[in-house]
Parts: sequence; structure tokens; C-alpha cells
Amino acid sequence: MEWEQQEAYLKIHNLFYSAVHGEVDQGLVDYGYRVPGEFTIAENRKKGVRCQPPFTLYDNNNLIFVDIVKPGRITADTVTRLSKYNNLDRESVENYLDRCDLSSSGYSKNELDNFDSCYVMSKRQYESHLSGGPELQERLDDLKTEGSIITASPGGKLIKENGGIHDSKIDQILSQGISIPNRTGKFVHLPRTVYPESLTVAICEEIVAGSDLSETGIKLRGSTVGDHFGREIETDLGHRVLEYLRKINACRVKQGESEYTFTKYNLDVVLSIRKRLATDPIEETLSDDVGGSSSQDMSLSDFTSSN
Amino acid sequence: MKFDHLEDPDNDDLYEQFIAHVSKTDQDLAKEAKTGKKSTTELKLFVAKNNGFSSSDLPDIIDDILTSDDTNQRPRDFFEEHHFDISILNEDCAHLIIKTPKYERKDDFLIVDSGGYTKFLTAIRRKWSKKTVEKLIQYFDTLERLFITSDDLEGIVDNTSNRNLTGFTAKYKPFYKEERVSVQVHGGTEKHLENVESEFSARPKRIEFGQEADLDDSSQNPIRQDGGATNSTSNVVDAAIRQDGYASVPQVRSGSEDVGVSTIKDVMSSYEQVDQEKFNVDHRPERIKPGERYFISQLDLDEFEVDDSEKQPDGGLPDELRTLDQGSVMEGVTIWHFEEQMPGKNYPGEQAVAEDLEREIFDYKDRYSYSKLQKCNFLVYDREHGESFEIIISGQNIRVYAKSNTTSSSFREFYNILDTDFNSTYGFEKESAQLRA
Repeated sequence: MEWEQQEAYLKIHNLFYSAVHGEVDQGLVDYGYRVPGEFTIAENRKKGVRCQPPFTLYDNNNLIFVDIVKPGRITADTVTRLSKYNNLDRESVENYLDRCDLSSSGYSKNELDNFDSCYVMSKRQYESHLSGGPELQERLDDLKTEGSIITASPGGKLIKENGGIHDSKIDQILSQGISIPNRTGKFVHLPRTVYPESLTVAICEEIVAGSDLSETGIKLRGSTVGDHFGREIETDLGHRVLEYLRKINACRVKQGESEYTFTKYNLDVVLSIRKRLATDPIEETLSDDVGGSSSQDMSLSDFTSSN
Repeated sequence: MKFDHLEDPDNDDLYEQFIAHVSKTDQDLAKEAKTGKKSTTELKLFVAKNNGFSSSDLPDIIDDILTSDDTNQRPRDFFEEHHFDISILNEDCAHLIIKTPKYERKDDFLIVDSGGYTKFLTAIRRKWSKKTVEKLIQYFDTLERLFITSDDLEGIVDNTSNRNLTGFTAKYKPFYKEERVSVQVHGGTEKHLENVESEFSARPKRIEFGQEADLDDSSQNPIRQDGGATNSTSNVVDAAIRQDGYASVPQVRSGSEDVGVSTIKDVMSSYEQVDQEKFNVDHRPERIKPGERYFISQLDLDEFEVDDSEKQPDGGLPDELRTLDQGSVMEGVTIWHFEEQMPGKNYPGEQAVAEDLEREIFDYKDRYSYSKLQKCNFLVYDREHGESFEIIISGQNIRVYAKSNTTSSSFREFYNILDTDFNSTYGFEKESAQLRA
């Protein structure tokens, strides 16, 4: 996936999140909904079904799994994957709540009135399917049969496009829609498919910029970057991304070591990572070893063989 | 100022010592009016956020500063040129004496440490407080001077009954034109401030007020003619408050010392309350992994024979544990909504606001590293505090988003810089919500 499209992928997460906390109107949080889990596992072991919803909404009595539709054409795989939510039963949902850490005052695991799922996509993507050829329309219809589609657009609304959500309160709220500002805050929500570029942004904007670098630096390893997000991220992918960051001078690594050090002296690169991804694509930068080799330079194989 | 004669003094007993210093009879006041000279110095109060300061640690902190290789020369000079004696008076209060051998000075301060804020009271001249206690606050990492908005400054006067605005300094310093207005009014009323605001777009940065005898009884409040009245004769305490947590009390009418004490107590708690409400980051987008709870508290790791020498994301962990370790939550969000209160004609578009902000603040101030994420959207890192935040400019307004490491320190600093160096007419509200369940 191109970086531009990935950025759109990150953005749709932010548009949704903006409506949850309500930047313009009352947000879902003002109606009592909270987000107890991001990518926490919900599974029905009897049926062998496992889902990891990017978001979940919970108001103590109702739970709604929220998945995000990848930008671009809706694929058959996406429809199949999203249809799995309909195989989760009450027990699955209760086990899911056990895995979430419900520790806020006033929120606990309760007898559920309703559980449901819905799918969020950008308004533009939705409309391009509506006005696209019969194949696109059919795919959209397939998705609609699996659950409600919620669209979001900057300067527009988070609004339900079809069907009904079992929880009538949220159904009504989303039928009317929640306003979203033109520009929303960029919290990093690592999407389902962890591409190197979105992981790079997540490391820079969430881990590094989110650390206190006033006195010391922070050290990261390819094998543990996933831990921060509670996601399974291949060690190899972690290494690739950190090696890319070293190449563009966002961090340093000592020869023969696998800990990358980020300090305040490299913050300019770290903070402008989105621009750098556009000008210095990861694959190109990593393969561009000619002439750029320094004593610190190590190829990816050095890491993979040492681990 | 002496406290030795007091036995087990409570806070009020100590405040009374300061109030007594500025207590004046009608004759005293008449004499002051006649000669045009104040017969005493003013009582001064400085309010600072306490980020780990303790009066009893003061000698150790100074010792650390003097022995550390990292100390800047100016703080080093300051702590070398002065001597500091501290004696604890009660649970909250300590008596600080700062000696300046060079000028043969020995200045007294009362330190009041309560509710997460440290207050310094003194009766020395401002010239000396600037050279002593204000430097001390500045050089201690664990103390931070407050900086509240013009609205909140007005609120401290308006929200208390029997408190009358009697003067102010109002400023207008917009970022988009070479206009600088500063208006000082002594002996004015609320009406004068309204006029100055509408005429010059200036917002109050310092407010003088008078406190009437009964804090809760408004029946004695005299009806004033618009613009015609000067200080109400029923005011028994005169005081002034500024944005940076500095308040002063030039006089208390003899016999109303109790009102003086309650006034300074109320001013202190008002500053604290406003700071907490507007600057505290109640919730931040900090990522929390619910799985950790199980690892730490609920499951005995030996049961699963996990080799903790090298925890791997995949293999090594039984499926049950892996399932629990997946996922995270964001704790919550805090957004500060800045609103331009004096929009005015020829106000530049948002793109121009963003460009000016970038050039005059983010580019210009050494403490900031930043990046423009997109049009009118910046990711900013305060290198001195080690904290980041995000800025979105929307029309004439600005939103500031807390990141996982944002605290009131970097936000307060940013607002101070914005108000002092960029645009003097923003007000702001805070929105904070917990998002995890």
C-alpha cells in the first residue's frame, strides 16, 4: 500500500476517534460510551473464529465492535473477515470484556442488553462504491448485509448509512450523526495491517515524541516495538523500520548492537517523519546501500542472523 | 518579619503577621494621601505549582545545584551570593531567610506549601523580591510560576461577592499588526475596563480590587454612577492580582485584619483552583495494555514456564497468555480550545495565523522542535520539559491536543509564550475525557 493511502488509513481511525470524544458536538463519550479495547482479541473457540476489532464501544450494557474498512476497493476478503463478527456469541463477548481491563469507576462487566458490530469507512470511499460499477456496488451491498456501515468525513459527520444497530441509543445517535472538524488531532492508531510506514509513524509520533527526552534518550529494539502497542509485530519488520530510521538520521545504533537510541538531537527528523516517508520511501532507502555505507551501516541480514 | 514569638502558629496566625504590616488607620491613610508616599511596603504573594518541592529539602536542593556540573553559571552565582536559612513553623509553613551579604540584607519570606502549590509571602520591595525569591522559584526545577488567562483574572474579582474592581492594566498586542496598546487605570470601575476592551481590544493583565468588609454580604454594595465613581469607601482591603500568580496587598484598613487574612487566603485558593481547572491534564492519550495486568497480578508465570530471559512476541508464550497480551487502550484525551476574543477587522486567514505562529513561536523559540504535519497542523516538542503536543489552527481559533507525555508544565509554558509574545487576546477552555472503560 502506498504511503499516501496508508495515511488515509490512519486518518479514518482519527476521524472515528474524534467523534468518540466529540470535538464539535457531544461525542459518544458524552452519551456514556467508552473504548475498552483496541485490537483486543474476541473469539468464539467453538467455531474457531477470532476477531481483533480496532475499536469497541461499551456503555456498561451494550457493546459494539467497530472495524475499519481499508481504503480503496472493498475486497471479498474484507467482507469475509468482517462477517466473522456475526459468529461471536454472548460468551465470546463476555470473555472479551474479561480481557479488557475495566478499571474505571462506573464501568464493569455486566449482563449485556445488546452486542453488535459495525464498519467504518470514509465517506469518499463509500460514495465511490455507490457511484462505481456494478461490481463495486455489489461489494458494498455484501458488506451492508453483514452490518451497519458508518461513514466519516473531515468537516462532515460520523453517520450511519444503512441498517440498524441493536443498541437503539447509539443507533439513534449515529443516525443523526456526530460532527467532525475539518482537521482532527493525530493520535496514532496502528491499523490492522501493520505496514512499515504506519509503524514508522507510530514509533516516531507515539513512542519517541511521547517520551521525555529532555535529559536522556530512549532505546528501542526491533523485537519489542510491538509490545508498546499490544500488537504482534514481526521482529524483522521492527528491525527494518528502525534501520530505516537510522538511515535517515532519526536515531543511532552502536555497531553490532540491536538497540536504537533516540535523543532530542534528532527530533527534527522524528517529528517530520510523515514528510520523510513521502520523499524517502522505506524500500528505496533501505536498498540504497551504495556509497552510503558507514562504519555503523549494517544490512538487515546482520540482524536477522543474530537473532 | 518575626515569627519567633508565636507558639504553635497555625497558617492564619502567620498570615496575620503580614496583614499587620499593611494595616493602616484612617490617619495613616490620610497622611499617605497628603504626602503621596506609602507608609509601608506592600504585602506580596507568589503562587507556584509544586512539582515535588519541599521546604525542608531546600538546603539539600541548593547543595545539589551548587555541586552539579550541569548547573548554569547564573543560578550558581545566585545560590553562591545568597545564604538561605529555613525553619519549619508548622505542617504547611516554613520561615525562609535569604541573606545577601553584598548588600548586608536579610529578607524574610513565609513559604506555604499545601494542595500541590507553594506560596511565598513577603513584605520586601519588588526590586528585592525579584532578586531573591522570584529567582529562587525560577531556578528550582520543582517550582513553576502560574500563568492564568485574562478571563480567569477577572473571574477572581467577579466571582466573589463584595469585591470591586478598582483599577487595571490592559494590553492589546496582536500578532498581525504593529499595534501595541497598554492602558493603565487607577481608581476605575468595571465599566472602565469594558470601555477599554471595546475601544482598544485590550484585555486585563493586572487587576486592582477592593474587598468590602463582609465577604458574603452584598447588601452594603453601594450603587455607583457609571464611570463617575472612584474607590468605594466601603473597601477595607486593597489588592492587585496578575496573570503570573503574583498578588499584592498595599493596605488593609485597621480593624479589618480578618478580612485581609481571608482575602489573601481566597486569592491563593482561587489561583490554585483556576490552574487546576484549566491546566491539569486530567486524561491523556497514553497507551495502556490491559494484558500487563494479568502478567503482573493474576497469573503465576511459573505455571506457564515462560523463559523471561528473552521475551519474544511470538513463540515461547502459551496461547492463553498471548491472547491476553493482545490489544491496548488509549486512556483519554485533553484538548484546549483557544478562542480569539477580539476578532477585529482585517483578521488574517487561518493559513496566515499558522504561518505567523510557526515563524514567531515554533521557529523562534529554542525550546521547540516541531513539524508541520499538514496545513495548519503542527506537532510540537518542548525540549526543555521533554513533552510534546499537537496544534491545529482553525479559522481564528487554535486547538492544542495533549499527547501521552503532555503535562501542565509544557502547556502552561506554551500559553505564557503565546499570550506574552504572540497574541494577547486568546481565551481558552479545556475539554478532557476518559476514553477507556
